[in-house]
Amino acid sequence: MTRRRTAIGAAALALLLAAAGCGSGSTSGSAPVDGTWDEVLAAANEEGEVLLYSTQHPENLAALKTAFEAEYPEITMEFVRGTDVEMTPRVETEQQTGRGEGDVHMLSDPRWALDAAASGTFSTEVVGPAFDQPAYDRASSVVEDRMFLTSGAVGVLAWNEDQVPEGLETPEDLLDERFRGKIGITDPAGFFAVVDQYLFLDENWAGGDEFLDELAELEPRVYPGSLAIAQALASGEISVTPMTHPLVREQATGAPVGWALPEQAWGTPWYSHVLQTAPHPNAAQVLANFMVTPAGQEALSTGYASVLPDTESAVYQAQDIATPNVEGLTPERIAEFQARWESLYR
Amino acid sequence: MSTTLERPATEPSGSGPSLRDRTFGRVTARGWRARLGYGLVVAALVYLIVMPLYRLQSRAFEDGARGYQAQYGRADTGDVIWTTVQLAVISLVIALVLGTILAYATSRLPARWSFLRVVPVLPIVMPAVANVVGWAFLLSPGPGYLNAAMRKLPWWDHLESGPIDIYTPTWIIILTGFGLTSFVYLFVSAGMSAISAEHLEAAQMSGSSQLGVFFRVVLPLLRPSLIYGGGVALLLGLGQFTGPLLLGSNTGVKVLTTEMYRRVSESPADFGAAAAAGAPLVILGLVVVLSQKLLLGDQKRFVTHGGKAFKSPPKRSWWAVTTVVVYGFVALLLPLIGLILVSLSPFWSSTISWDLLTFDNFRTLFQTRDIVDSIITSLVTASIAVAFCVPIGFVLATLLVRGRRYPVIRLVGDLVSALPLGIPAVIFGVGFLLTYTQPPFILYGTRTVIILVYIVLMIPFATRLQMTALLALGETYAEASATSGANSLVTNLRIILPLMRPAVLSAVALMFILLTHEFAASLLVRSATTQVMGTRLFDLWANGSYPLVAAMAIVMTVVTGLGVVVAMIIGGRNVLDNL
Repeated sequence: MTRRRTAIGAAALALLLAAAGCGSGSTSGSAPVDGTWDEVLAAANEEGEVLLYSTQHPENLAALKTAFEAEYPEITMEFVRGTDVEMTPRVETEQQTGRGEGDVHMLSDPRWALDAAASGTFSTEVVGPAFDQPAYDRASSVVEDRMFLTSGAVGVLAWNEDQVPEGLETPEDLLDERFRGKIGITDPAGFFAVVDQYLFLDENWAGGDEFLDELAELEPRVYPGSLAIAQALASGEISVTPMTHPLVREQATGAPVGWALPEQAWGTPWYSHVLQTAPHPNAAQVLANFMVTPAGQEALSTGYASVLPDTESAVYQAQDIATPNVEGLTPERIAEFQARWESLYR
Repeated sequence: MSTTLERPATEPSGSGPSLRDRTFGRVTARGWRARLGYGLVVAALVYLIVMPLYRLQSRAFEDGARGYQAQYGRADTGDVIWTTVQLAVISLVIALVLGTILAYATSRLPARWSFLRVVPVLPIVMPAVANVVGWAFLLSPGPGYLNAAMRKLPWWDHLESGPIDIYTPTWIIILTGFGLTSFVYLFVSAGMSAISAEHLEAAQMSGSSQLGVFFRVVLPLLRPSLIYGGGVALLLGLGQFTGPLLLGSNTGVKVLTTEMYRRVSESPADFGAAAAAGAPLVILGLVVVLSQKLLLGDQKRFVTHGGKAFKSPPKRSWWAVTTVVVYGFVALLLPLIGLILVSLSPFWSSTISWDLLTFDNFRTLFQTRDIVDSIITSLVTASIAVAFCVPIGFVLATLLVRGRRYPVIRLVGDLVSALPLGIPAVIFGVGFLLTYTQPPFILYGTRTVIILVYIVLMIPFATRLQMTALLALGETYAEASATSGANSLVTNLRIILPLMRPAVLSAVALMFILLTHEFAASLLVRSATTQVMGTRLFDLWANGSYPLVAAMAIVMTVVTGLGVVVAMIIGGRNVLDNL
C-alpha cells in the first residue's frame, strides 16, 4: 500500500515536472530561411505560430490576429499588449539571455527603435514583398532595412460625455477649476514618446505659456498609459484628458466618451521589427509583411494612423507624423524633464 | 540521530575487527553521511536564498556604490522613505487594534457561533490583488459603487466625486491595516488561548466589567504576543507592494518596494538602484530574524505536548458575534461584491445597469489562451514548489530539532530558512530576475524560475510547520524505533512521517493556497508568455480592462477558495489556524 502511494506520488510529481517543462517559455526555434518568399512562407507554415509584442490598442491587435489568420490559416498569431515601459525591458532581457519568446515587436518609442536599427543588435532585416509596394514608400518608412513604420498615434483632447456634455474644443478649455482632480495624464517614467509629448504640449499649447504648470495646479491623476486613461474616462473616474488616442473603439462599444483633434496635435510613429531572438523567424517575417499590407493596415488603424493611403479605418497618415526630436532629447534632457514632472505632479 | 542508539550487535566468533571498531566505524560513516546530506541541503538553500541577495548588493556597490547614489540621490527619496515608514507604522497600529479586538471577540463567541473563528483569517486566503481591486471598484472617487451610494446621502449629494478617494495614501494605509489585521489576529488569538480562565474569572468576580477585564487583565497578558505579532506585521507593512503599486501610482504614492519594481521595469533596467532601494528592508529583515533567534534560543524550550489544556468557558456575547460578522462583511464580502458587480458588467461605471449584466467577461477570460495558460502555470508551479518544499522542509525541521551534533550546519540552516519570512518577496523577485538572467543558470521565461522563487518563499512555512509537529512528537518514537533496529530512513518513513501526516497535509494545503495568489515575486520573474494568475491580472489592470480584471480576480479567489476547501477536507477544519 505504502509502495503504491509512493509510486502514485512519484508519478504525480513526474507529471507536474513534465508540465512545467512543457510550459517553459524557451523554445528551441527554427532557422530563418535564406531563399525566396515562397520558401519563407513554407517555413512559416511549418513553424505554425507567431507572437507579436505590441503597445497598440488590444482590439486592433485582435482584429489583426483575425485578419492574419484568415490570410494564413496555418499560422496561429498571438499577441501580448503592454506599454513601452513594460515591453521594451522584456525584449532587452530576451536578447541578453538569448531566450526569445516574442517574434515581432511593435513600439511607439522612436528613439529606442532608431537606436536598435542602427545597432543591428535586436532585429533582422525584413524580406517581405509588401515593404516594396509603392504606396508604402520604403525609403521613408524602413530604417536600416530592419525597423519598419507600421502605424502612428496622435494625441487628442477627450472627455466623458456624461460629465462634460459640451466637450472640449481647445486645450485651454481643459484648464478649468471644475476639472480639479478629474484630469487624467500619463506617467512619463521610462516613456520617451510621452516625455516628447509633454514637451510638445508645453511649447505649443496655451500660447507656449507653461501649459504644464497650469495643468499641475489642477492636480491631475496619473495613469500608466493612454489606454488606462481611456478606461478611466469611460468609467467616469476622470472627466477630461489632454493626452489619449482617438477614442473610436471606445465609442463603438457605447462608452460615454468624446474626443477632438486639437489644432496643434502631437503624434508619434509606431515602428516594428523582427526580433533576432524570434523562435519563429519565418512566421515573424510573414507577420511583419502582413502588417504593412492593406488588410493588415485596415485591422491596425481604427483610431490610429495608417502607413498606407486610403485605409478607411485610419484617422491620419502615419508618414505625415513628424518624428519626435530624437537628437535633441538626450538622456540628460529627459532626466531633467522627469525631475520637473515629479516636482509638478507628485 | 539514531546512530548513538544503534542496537548492539552480537560479538561474532573468529578473527576480524572487534565489535567496538566495527560499531565505531559504522557510526562515524553514518554520521558523515548525515552531515554531508544536511550540508548539501543547506548549501543548496544558501545558494538559492542568499545568492540573489548577495548579487543584488554587489550590483548596488559597483562603480563606487553607483546604485546607492542613483537611488538615494533622487529628489523624492525622503518622501519615499517617509511614506514607507508611515504606511508600515500606521497600518500596524490599525492592525494591532483590530486584531486584538477580533481575537478577544472570537474568544467570547457563543458555542454555536464558534465557526465564526475562521472569519478573521479568511482575508489572508483572499488574494491580495483581488482584495485591492475589489476595494478600488467600491471606493474609486468617481465610479466607485460605495462612493456613488454615499453621494446619495443628503450631506454629500452636492459632490460630483468622492467622498472617499481610495488612491490616496490615507486609504492605502487603512487598506493595508485591514490586510495586516489577520496576521496580528493569528498571533494574538494564540496568546489569548494561553490566558488562564482563573485570571478572567477572578477579575469578573471582583466586579470588573468585560471592558475592564479586557484592559486590566487580557491586554497586559497579551503583551508578548502583541510584540511578536506586531513585529511580523511591521515587517509585512514595510514590505507592502500590491496596494501601493495598484492604487498608489494614480496619485504618486511611492514606497521602497514599488521603487524597486520601477527601477527594474524601466529601460535600461537598473538593478543597482533597485538593490539600494531594497537594502533598508533587507537589513531590517536580517535584524529581526537574528534577534528572534537570540531571544528565543533553544526551540525545545517551547515543547508544549502533554501540557494542561485550557478552554475558556463559552459565554453568550452577542457583541462578539456582531464584531466578527461586521469585520467579515467589510473585509471580505464588500470587496467580493464589488468584484462580482464589475465582472458581470460590460464596462465599469458608477451606475449598475442590471439588465446589461452578462457572463461575457468570464467567457472572454476562458477563451483567451494566455489567460488560461496563466491559471495552469499558477497551479503547476505552486504544486511543484510544494512538492519540493515538503521534503526540504522535513530535512530542515529534522536538522533543527535533532541536529545538535551539527551546530554550524544547524545554525546556518536555521537562519537561512527564516530569512524569507523577514525579507519582502519583491526583493527575492528582483534578485532572482538578476541572478537567473545571467550565467551559469539562465532560466528567464521558464516556469523553473517561478518554481525556485516559490520554493524560497515557502521554505519558512514548510520548515516551521513541520518543526512544530516534530517538536510536539518528542523523541520517544524515534528512540523506540531505533532501539528496535530501524535505521533513520526507515524510522522517518514508517514512524515519523505517518505521525506527522496531519501537519504535513496542512503545510501542503497552506503553501498551495499562498502560492496560487502569490503576486510580488512573480511579477518580477514572469516573462511575456510565462505568467501566473496575479501577474496576468496586473497586466489587465495596467491596460485598463476593468471588467476582465474583476473576472480574473473572481477566478483567482475561486481557485484559492477551492484550495481552502481541499485543505479543510484533508487537513481538518482548523487547518487555517496553522497559518
